[in-house]
Parts: sequence; structure tokens; C-alpha cells
Amino acid sequence: MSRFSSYVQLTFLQMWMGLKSAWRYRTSFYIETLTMVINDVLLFCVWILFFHKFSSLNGWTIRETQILFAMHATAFAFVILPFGGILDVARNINEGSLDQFLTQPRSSLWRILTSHFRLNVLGDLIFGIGMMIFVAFHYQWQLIFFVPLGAICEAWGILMVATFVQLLALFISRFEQASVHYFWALEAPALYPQNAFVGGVRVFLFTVVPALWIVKMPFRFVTEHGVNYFFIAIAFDIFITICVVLLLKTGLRRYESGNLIHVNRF
Amino acid sequence: MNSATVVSSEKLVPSSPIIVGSALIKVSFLDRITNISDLLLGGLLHLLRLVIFGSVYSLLLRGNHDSFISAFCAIAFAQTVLSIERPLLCTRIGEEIRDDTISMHFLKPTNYLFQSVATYIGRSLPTFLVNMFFSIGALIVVLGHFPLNGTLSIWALILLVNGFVLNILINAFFGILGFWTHDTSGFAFLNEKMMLLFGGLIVPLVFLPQIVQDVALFAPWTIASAQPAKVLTHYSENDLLKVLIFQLLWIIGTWAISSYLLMRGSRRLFRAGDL
Repeated sequence: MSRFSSYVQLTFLQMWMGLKSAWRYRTSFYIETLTMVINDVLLFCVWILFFHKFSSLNGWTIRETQILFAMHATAFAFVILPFGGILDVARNINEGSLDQFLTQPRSSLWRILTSHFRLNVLGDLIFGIGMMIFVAFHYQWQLIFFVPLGAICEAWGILMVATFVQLLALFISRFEQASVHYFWALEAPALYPQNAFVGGVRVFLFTVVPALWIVKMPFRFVTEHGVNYFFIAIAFDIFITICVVLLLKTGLRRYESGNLIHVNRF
Repeated sequence: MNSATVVSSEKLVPSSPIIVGSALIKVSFLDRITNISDLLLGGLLHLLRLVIFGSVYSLLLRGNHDSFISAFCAIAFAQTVLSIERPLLCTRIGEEIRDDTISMHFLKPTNYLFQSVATYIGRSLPTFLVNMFFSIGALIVVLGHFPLNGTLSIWALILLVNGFVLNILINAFFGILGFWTHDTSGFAFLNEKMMLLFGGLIVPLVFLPQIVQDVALFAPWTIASAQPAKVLTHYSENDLLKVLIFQLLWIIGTWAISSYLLMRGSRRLFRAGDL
């Protein structure tokens, strides 16, 4: 337990250092954060226009979109703010630059994941929290507790599935761009009305790109307050975490160093 | 020394911009197609988006087959126009200005803007072609037939290529603003979202409120993708001609403004002398 809490502490510390370093360039800090907030607001405006034309999609209304955006923007920030290196794992493997992480005392995977700080995601967090407060005031005050819980659940799922795919670079060469494409494929369905996924698309999103396990289960937990959905999402997260650990153990044996570490003899 | 081995430096520089441009496009195209798996996965992601939109609009427009065909064609068209390579040209030019590598490009005999745009077109072309292939496939599978006839298909291709080039030039324009700002990634995000809002990537132009349609009528993002898509699904010769003229005007205009900004911006460049 103390080992786990030390990792949590270190993660927050690294995030704090990243924030402090970005704060040195105030104008850039404000611009990057603000443009991401505007970016999210504009994306949300598209859906406002959509539901202005069509009031409901299979029972899905603007209310559901607002809750989904609140949960997903927060979840996305929960993944990328502390684990900004998630999109660089495959590139590090391909370039043989994992050595610097393997020689460090902490878990190498954790070090790779926390090696990069992406400031603009702070804008997603601000947007997500703003939207969360909005939906809690407008629809149900309980959402202020359910949305963060759903977001944590979703964030863990995104992190683990994306890491799993990035680690496939240990087995498949030149996989870095493909793994980035997969990440966006995993994230994309979270921005659309979940009722739209029927038939073959639904099967695809439960298997090849398991976005529905990651997004729909926590979303139903948030909107319907069904604890069973929460446990299904947690069970999926645990399953994929075990897969990641096993893949890392097997894959690291195949890793070829890029010989980037130089030992000084004197 | 054998005179045959001496090559004049003038002979190494092809004079025609068409030759230089096509050579740059060819080299970057060939470089890009070395990674087939990445291209295919990108194409599959594009297909996934189209299938999602297919199911969204089939649910919304149940019983109105003609509207569904129009909506799906418009989305497929707009999504294909946006098929450009990452990192975006806007971000790439911005970074080159920020880390001063742009000054190295100024030493080359070709115009920097021309070189960047041609190279980027070459790099984006495989993605564009793969996505176009998947779009045509999705249209045939979802609708049961290809909705455009022979002549209209040729016009669609011309409008697609114009939209693709215009989209790249808009990106180049935002990139050159890097001479006046520290980071252009904000412009890249903004450009993407304007494309999303006015380019008809999620909601086709005909479904947007009239006021938005009026505001965005001649905006470059609308002219690049949403207006051509509208013309193809609600065909009239007059509108087709209008959209073609506006596409060409925007291409020339964006190029001219970008060249002017590059000229003004390059005067602000300060080289530290560590070549």
C-alpha cells in the first residue's frame, strides 16, 4: 500500500513540476489552456447545432451529450495530464530509447507514461469541470459525485487499453503511428451519441476497439446510477490491466536497446 | 579532370516550378508510402467515423432515403477533404520558425512556402487517396450503389482536390503567423474546429440553421468542403461554377496572403550565427 501511495505522490509531484515549468511562460500558458477550452466549446457547439435540427437521436438528447462531454473531457484530462507520455511509448520502443527508463529504480512503464507533460489538456479539465457543474445545477445535484467517479473509471480504461496497444510495438516494428491512430479510434466514439452504435458497429466497439466498455458503462453508471455498470467497468479495467502487465513482462524480453546510454569511465 | 564529371550548379536546379513541385511531391509521396500498416489503420479509422455517421443519420432520417443519401455523401466528402497528414503543416511551419530552422530553408534555391506546401501535399496524398478509397467503399456498401454519375464523379474529384489543396494552404497561412506568436498549435486547434463547425464534418451544411449558413457562406472552410458537398448532393450547374470559382479565388488569395506574410515575417528573423 505504501508503495502504491508513493507512486501516487510521485505522479502528483511530476504533474506539479510540469505545471510550474509551464507557468514560467505565462502568455503561452494562458493561450494554450484557453485555446483548448475554446476548442472544446466549439466542438460542443456543433452538437448544439445538431440537436437544434434533430431534437433526439434514438432517445438521446442534448442533456445526455452534456453529461457525456462533462465525463469524457474530465476523463481525458485525468489520463493525459499525469500520463502525457502515453502516446510516446511505441516511439520510445521503436527508437530503442527505453534504456533511460529501464535503468531507473521505479517501474519503467510508469516512468515512460509520466515522462511528458501536456499543458493544453488543462483546458479539457477546465471545460470538463465547468460542464460538470453545469449539468449538476441543471439536472441533478448528485451528478457532481457521479461524473468524477465515472471519469476515473473511464480514464483508467483509456489508459490501460492505449498502453496495451502501444506496447504491441515490442512485437511489431514501426507500430508508432498505427498505435496513435488506434488511440484516436478509441477516443472518437466517446464524442458521439452512444445510442447511434447499433449492429456491426456495436460489436466492433465492444471487441476490436473496446470503446463501449470504457465509455458506455461508466456513462450508464453516471446517468442511471446503476452500480452494476460501475462494477462491469471496473472488472474490464482490472482485466485489461492484467493484460498490460503480462504483455510488458513478455515484451521486454524482446526489447532491443538503442545503445543510447554512455558510461563515463573516468 | 574529365569535363564530363564537372556538373554546373545551375544545371542541378530545375528551372520550372512545375518540375520542382512535382519532384518534391513525388519524393515525399514515396517516403510516406513506406509505412503501409499506418496508412491502412488511418484509413480504417476514417471508415469507422463514416460508419458511425452512417448509423447516426440512418437513425435520424429513417424513412427519408433521399435526405439520408445527401447527408451521408456530404459527410463522406467533407471527411475526405480533411485527410491531411499529422503533424499539421501549421504546427510544422510554426516549429521551424520557433527553433529557427526556417533560416536554413531560406538558403535553398526554392521558395520556402512553395517547398513546404509541395512536400506536405506529397506526404498527405497517400492518406488522401486511401481515405478516398474507403469513402467510395463506404458509399457503395451503405447505399448499395455509388451515388454519383460519370460527369458528376469527375467534378467531385476536381472539387475534392481543390478542397484538399485549399485546406493545406489555410494550414500554411496559420503556420506563417508563427513569426508573430510563440506557438501555432492554438491556431491549428482553432482551424480544425472551424473546419468541424463550418466544414460540415459532423453536420452537413443543409442541416445547419439558416443564420449559420449565411454567415459561413463564403468562409474558406465552407468553400473547401461543405459547399462542394452541398453542390454534389443538390446539383446545379450555376452553383457548381460558383463553388469552383470561389475555391480557386481562395487558393490564390491564401497563397498571396501567405507569401506576403512570409516576406514580412522573414524580416523579423534573427540568425544567431551558429550555422
